[in-house]
Amino acid sequence: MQLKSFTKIAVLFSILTWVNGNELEEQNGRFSVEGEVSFPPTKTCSGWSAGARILLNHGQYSGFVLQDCTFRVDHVPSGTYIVQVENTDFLFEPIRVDITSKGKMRARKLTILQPNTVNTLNYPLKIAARGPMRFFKKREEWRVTDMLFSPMVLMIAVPLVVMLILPKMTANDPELKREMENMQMPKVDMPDVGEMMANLFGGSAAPKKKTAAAGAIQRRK
Amino acid sequence: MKLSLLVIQLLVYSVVAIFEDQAGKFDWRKTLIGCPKSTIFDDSGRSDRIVVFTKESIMGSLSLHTGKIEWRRILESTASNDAAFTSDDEYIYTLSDGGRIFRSWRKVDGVLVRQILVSEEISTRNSIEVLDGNIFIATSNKLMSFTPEADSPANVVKFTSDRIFSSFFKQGNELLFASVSKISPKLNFVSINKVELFADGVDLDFVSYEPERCHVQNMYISCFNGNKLSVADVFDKNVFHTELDHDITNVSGSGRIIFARGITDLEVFEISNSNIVALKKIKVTPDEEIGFVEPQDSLFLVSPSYVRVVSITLDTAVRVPRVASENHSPLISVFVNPVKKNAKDYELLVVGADCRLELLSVDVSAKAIVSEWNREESLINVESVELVDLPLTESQQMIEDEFEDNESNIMSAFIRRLQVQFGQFCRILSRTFENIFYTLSTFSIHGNGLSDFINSIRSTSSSSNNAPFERDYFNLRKVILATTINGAVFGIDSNDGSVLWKIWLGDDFAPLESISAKQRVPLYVQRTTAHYQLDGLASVVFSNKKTKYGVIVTFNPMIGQVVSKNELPYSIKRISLLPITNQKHVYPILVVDEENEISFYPSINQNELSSCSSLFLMDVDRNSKTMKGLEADLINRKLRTVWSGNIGLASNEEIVAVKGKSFQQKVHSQGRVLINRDVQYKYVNPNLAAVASLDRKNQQLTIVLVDIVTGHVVHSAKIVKAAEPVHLVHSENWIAYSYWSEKGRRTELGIIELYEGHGEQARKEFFDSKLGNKHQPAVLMQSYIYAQGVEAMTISETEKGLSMRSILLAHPSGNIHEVSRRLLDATRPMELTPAMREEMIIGYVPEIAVSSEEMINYNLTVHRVRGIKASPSGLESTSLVLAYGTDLFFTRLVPSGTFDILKDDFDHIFISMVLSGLVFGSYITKRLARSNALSAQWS
Repeated sequence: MQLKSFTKIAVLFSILTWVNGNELEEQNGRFSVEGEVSFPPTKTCSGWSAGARILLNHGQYSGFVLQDCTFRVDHVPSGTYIVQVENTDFLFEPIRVDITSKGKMRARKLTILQPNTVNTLNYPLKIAARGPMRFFKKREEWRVTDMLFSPMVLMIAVPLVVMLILPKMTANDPELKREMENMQMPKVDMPDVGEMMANLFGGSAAPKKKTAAAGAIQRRK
Repeated sequence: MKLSLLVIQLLVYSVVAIFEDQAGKFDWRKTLIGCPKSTIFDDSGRSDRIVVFTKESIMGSLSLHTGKIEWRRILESTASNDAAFTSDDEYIYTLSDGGRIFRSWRKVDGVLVRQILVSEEISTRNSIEVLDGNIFIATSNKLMSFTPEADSPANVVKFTSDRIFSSFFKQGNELLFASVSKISPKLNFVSINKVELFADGVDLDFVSYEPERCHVQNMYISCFNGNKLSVADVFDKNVFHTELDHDITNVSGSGRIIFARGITDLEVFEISNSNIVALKKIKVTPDEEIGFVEPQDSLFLVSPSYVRVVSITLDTAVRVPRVASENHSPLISVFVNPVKKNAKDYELLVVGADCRLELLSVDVSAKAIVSEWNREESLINVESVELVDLPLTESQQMIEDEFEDNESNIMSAFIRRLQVQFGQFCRILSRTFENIFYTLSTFSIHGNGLSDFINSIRSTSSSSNNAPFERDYFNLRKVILATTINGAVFGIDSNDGSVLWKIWLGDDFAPLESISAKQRVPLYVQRTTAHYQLDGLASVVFSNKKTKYGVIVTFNPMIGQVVSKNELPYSIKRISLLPITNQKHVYPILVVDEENEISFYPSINQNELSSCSSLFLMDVDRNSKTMKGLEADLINRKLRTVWSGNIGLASNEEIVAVKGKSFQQKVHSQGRVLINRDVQYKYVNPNLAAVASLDRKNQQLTIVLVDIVTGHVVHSAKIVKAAEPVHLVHSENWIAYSYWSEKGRRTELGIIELYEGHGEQARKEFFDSKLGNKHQPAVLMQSYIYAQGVEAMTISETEKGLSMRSILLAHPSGNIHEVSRRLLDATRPMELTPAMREEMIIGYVPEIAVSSEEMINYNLTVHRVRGIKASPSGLESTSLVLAYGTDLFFTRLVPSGTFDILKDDFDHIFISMVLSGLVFGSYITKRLARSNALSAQWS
């Protein structure tokens, strides 16, 4: 019983001192978060850094990237921060940095789903680009295969093959030709558009069309 | 199961992103730099530029020839304006963040070259100077020198008391530091040799220093008091006193010349041979602003309508008129840059009180002024935004006309119909001819080949910029009205972001103070352009700087013409738009004064008022945490308290957001279909307000939903371990909010949805708060993890509220992220059954992913976003969005995809060409087949 109350007091005391310490740091301890940004050498750092900023906790503190790709964010009190690189060219993973009251830094991978998992990284920070920033969807590009296998083209191409190439092939082979002729294709009467129109709109236009049609019939004979 | 979930998510996401060739098609961005505090004309390097340091703590470089921003850096924004800034041939040196960080930047492209941590504590009075690469920095309590190599100071002089004034003086290779301490009015000197600092024993007696009554130039400090002018020569350690015959209001100067300005006179002094000599006296008018630079002889007096060039030694004066803008603001500063090539040419950068920058190029000998460019920098302080439809087109007006009068008989109606259609026919003909001529002319200019021809046809359909100022077919083009806290109102074309007109609200302009101590300039659209016989009306409300009384300025939103200006005889306590119109289709503004009396602008008569049964308002007292439900008695024009209380908020909580609903908001669907084919009705209460309050000590966020009419608390939610920033949006039957979770060290988004309680039918056309519900509404809540910070939050608006809404979130990194309500949904189930999957319901995942493809502004970032305005267009699928911060960004948003319009890449010309080709081909083949058959017959 005695012991229990003692531990309780001890715990309480430690909490109290911790709170006190925290308040003190707020006033005194101001630290700097340092690091370096790296990305593929296609872009020079000097040109890129003009459009980049380093944000701590989404803009609570901010800093700029120097021309040699290093950065330093100053006057940061102790605590836990998310370090992000603001730019429009590359994708960077955010990093979590813990600063103790004595100014000791610890960097770790930021996993927002499980904030308690520790996956320590090196400090000073090394932030590497994961790839170029992609803002746009890709338009479907025109490809030959796409066009050839599209249902519309297939619908036109397959009958064309049947109609044009098959008779040519059979022309050389008389046996096959006979066989084909024996195979009675169902005859489809395709209505002539011109005639259909003439029938529909009889009247004045009719005689002219009729003669034309008659001529055609005669020629066929 | 996971895979299918992923597939569904991908399906949802794929709707959001845009294609690369769509960039810039519907959107534009206007980058801004802010109100200049100091400028440097720079002609080193390849092109001339002006380096500007602004009040918004932004540093940037403008091209001298075009006025375009070459580069811009957003520095730390501190509350006090305490950054210092200097430059040499290659670099710019800044001392920012309360005088704690020194940085040097390359002038050409704004790249950070060097950064030194100067001090730990914030100082309010800072100055900086560079000589031979050595850097000298003065904060309010110490003076430091740095060599070009080392990051630690070479020498430090600590002051015994804080400085209220400090400045460096350069004369050739000699550098001197002068300062005034808080306690004694004496000028204290420190002389500088290379990097060594020597405290000078001599103190110079000087008048008491006040920053607003003193001016510092190369080697003199001049201060005035009444009609007395005192000038200290810092190198000679000498003070000159002189008296004028009029009171001085302002003192300025450059080199050895000092100007003391009274109300009507400008006295010119020169310091020569240890004496102050009055050179000249020039009559000035109050709207003239002076610009002068040594060693030139010409003094520029710039007014909005002319520029006077006066010689300070000779008796010559030239007056050159300039194109006057009707609605101008007074000028606040003029920066002069003599052009090197020609001694008689000058470039003047003129800054107005409305932060308008204009570059004038003045040719004194030819008496000519050319306005090279101008920038409306006031737009960086946009406060309220409204989008107004353009007027109806002529043909739309004809149709309106046709259905307007119902009294006419059949015959006249028929004739009218014929007339209308004839008119439409004529319009189409004339437009087609115009198009053909345009196409032909462009074709003849740069046309060879079919592709050019097709391109020119395409470009005619998109060349709508020179189209008349009227509504387009889908009502996508609007006029953006924007008020700024500088006192300017803008009309902006939403097509390309060009400023159509500007109103200056007067020199007595002051913004209203809202309960959250924010400066507000409310803007109300009182009559839209839907009534084509009448012009649109909009009003802006502000207060008079001197009397603190309210002022209402009413104007035509299309052309920016002021219709009336009402100076109210009292100060405004509360202001709102009345939800009913008077006979002229105007929504009056309801103004409550300090005595709780109500008045209307414009007036509205008793009959019209009777259509509005009762009006309720909620009053929030931030300090005492009490809410008051007020009923406005419109007939007797009095406010009556209905209820009051603290709605369960503790005394240590601070109210961070109060959001009601707009009375114009439309809710399309009354309910949602459940998976068992049941319907759950939405609890759509138009009188519901959401109040968010934060307990900083216990880190607790409370959200209370209160009915304004009855004071009934509908729901209250507590979120533990929450901290600022808190943002809240409220729409239909749901509230979405964002907060910083201290526990998870991440931003979280929450959503609360309200549905009618069990057995409660959605009956009503109207919701009645007083009727009360038998059952409490059912509340669904859900939280999501969000990997980014949130700076501003808003909801997309469409015309009928039929499309799925999207939540727009502005990130501190400058992106604007669109999150569909499908994802931020309180009804996402934890476990998906096959039936749910069939209905395409997305299961709950704790995180709302942020991918760069969902950024509606792709790489056109917008910083320090203060608000996002969403407005419906004529298309149900499309919402128009304007985000405003240090930049303006406008785009079209399609929250549920473009379901009611052909895709913009739909190729009309290609399809019609294919179609006509097919027809033509079939005709040819028919011919060929016929001749083929004939020859077959013959053979």
